Amino acid sequence: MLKDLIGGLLLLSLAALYYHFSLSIQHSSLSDAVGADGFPKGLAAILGGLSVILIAKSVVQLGLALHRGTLALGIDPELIHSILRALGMLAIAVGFLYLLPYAGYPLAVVVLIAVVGVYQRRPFAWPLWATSIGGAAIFWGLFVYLLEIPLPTGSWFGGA
Amino acid sequence: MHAIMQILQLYWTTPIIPVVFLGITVGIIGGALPGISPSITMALLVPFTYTMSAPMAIVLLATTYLGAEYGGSVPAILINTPGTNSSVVTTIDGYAMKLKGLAPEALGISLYSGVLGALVGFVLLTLLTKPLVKVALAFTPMSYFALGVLGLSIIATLGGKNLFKALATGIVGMMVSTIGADPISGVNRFTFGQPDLISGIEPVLIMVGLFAVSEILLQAGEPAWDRVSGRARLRFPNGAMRRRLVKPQVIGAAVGTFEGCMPGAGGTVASFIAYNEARRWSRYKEEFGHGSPEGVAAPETSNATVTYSALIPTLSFGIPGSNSTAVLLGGLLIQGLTPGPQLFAQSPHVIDGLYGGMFAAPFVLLVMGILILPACIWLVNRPRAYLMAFILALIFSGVYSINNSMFDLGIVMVAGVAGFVMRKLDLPFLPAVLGLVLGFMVESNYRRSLVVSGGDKWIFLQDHISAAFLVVAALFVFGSLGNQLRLEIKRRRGLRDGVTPA
Repeated sequence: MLKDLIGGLLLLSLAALYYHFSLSIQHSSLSDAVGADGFPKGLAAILGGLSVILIAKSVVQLGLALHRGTLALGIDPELIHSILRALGMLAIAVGFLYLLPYAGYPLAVVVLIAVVGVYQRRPFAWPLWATSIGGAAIFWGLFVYLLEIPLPTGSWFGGA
Repeated sequence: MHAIMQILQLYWTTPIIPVVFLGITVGIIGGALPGISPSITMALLVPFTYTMSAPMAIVLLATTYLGAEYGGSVPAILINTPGTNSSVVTTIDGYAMKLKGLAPEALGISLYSGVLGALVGFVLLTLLTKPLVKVALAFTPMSYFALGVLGLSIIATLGGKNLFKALATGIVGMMVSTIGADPISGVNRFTFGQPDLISGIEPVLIMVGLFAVSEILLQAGEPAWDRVSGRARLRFPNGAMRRRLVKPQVIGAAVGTFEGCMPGAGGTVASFIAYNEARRWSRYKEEFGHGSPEGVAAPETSNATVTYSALIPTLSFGIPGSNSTAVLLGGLLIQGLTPGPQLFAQSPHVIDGLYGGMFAAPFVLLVMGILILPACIWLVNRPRAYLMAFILALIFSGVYSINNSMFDLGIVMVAGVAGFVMRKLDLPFLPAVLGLVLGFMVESNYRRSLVVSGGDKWIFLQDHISAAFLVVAALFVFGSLGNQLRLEIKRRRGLRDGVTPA
């Protein structure tokens, strides 16, 4: 119920934001009767309507549960743990994206594997470094050497 | 005979056989890793298909799907942890067989049934898709619009009790499809001055984010899975057992055919139905749940058949019925191919290549299923931390290699976060993917049709194919709404009579 309410509110916000930006779509003399903004505005309206239904349904269900005394308020510690762990992983991934242009592909992959390993509670010992360096070598061999993908060489090392 | 000669020629003149081996091998390994579903394995492979020819790319993805469906049964049998959603039901009797010391037999039955299911699926695929070539020539912009609407209406059947959530996420997918240049006037929409957004967002980026990145984010907070102890082997059923397995395999193949052809049903539903039906028709009902070989054979046959039959609506109508076929559709789009009836008319070599690859796939599955087992077990026993790190590195490297663009990596990350939020809020993925894939088709053909008719909306009903599709779409939506209403009334009656809803 609470999930539906949060989901409904998020979707409603998205519909409002999308509609707001669809107002700034330019009109073209080449356009048809529907126009470039016609379809997006329609989608925003439908999403808005569906979100309102979702919110209303969850509010009614919450009210009924409150009335019956079956509403369990409180935050699930497992959910918080899961979200915090995901945020940590996200920070590592974003860190990799920032590091990549500077450190270059091989070094950034070494750091990525090592940091994810430590974050997932692998001991800070030689297997961690061996896996990180070995893994980066495999990825470099596959993508740069074999598939010839021009992955960033890193500005710290004079590359692009 | 001519078709067989064509397939043999393909084997000699193209690298199709090595591609099938690669797809099946990667699929088995991906499916065997708990949490890495067939769709995630396929999504991870999509960037690699960018430089391949279209037939090879599609064969790689389709065979990966088949391999992954079998691979999922390996941890299901050995550690009671399903590698894929559709192998959940295999854990019931597969793991029970393992506890009785019959793990090699269970693995053998799973592989044997998978191969048979795949062979049945191949026959169906070739019989049911080819006749649709004739239909292709009759399609107009109105038909394409209605086909898109029909595809979107499947969202209603996917929704179940979460109909409004499913519809809402479908609309979000369509919203993403509007980013970029307008299909009629060329005006930029939602590009925010970013040149990278002018050509729109490639569906595969969203799929990789939704399926793979969100799974990594989710796995970060999950406990580690069990390790496989001892040395696992595989033993095929003997003559008596093979005769006993015929009935559940026929049931599995029949259910897999029907469910796979039904857009939106998917392998998981099929495996549960196959299991239930096999139990119902079995002479050894009491064995089910306690290590019944039939309880492994029925769902595994069904899983393999679905990988073929699910290609029928995907290829012939351009409507993906499951996450995996949605990724396959993404693979077609990345090759510049238009999924749907036109594919048969415009790119017959892709279809021929697919048939060739899918014909070889069951035999390759048989070989690789035996050979790859030790490698699968070795991988399942690796620390999950390293697997996650390697998958993350693979996602970034693969996505970067599509357009050599850091911007794409950002999109994948945003989609991954969105996927994680959707998982936590129980918002389904597939409607969003359907909306994303079909949004452009619906909008562009709707507007083209109105240009043709001078704004007369009746043109959608005057076109016979379009009218038929729209009627079926309406039946889907109103049928689902009616079903939900019926369930709600039943639930309320239950509450009023003091029965607690499950």
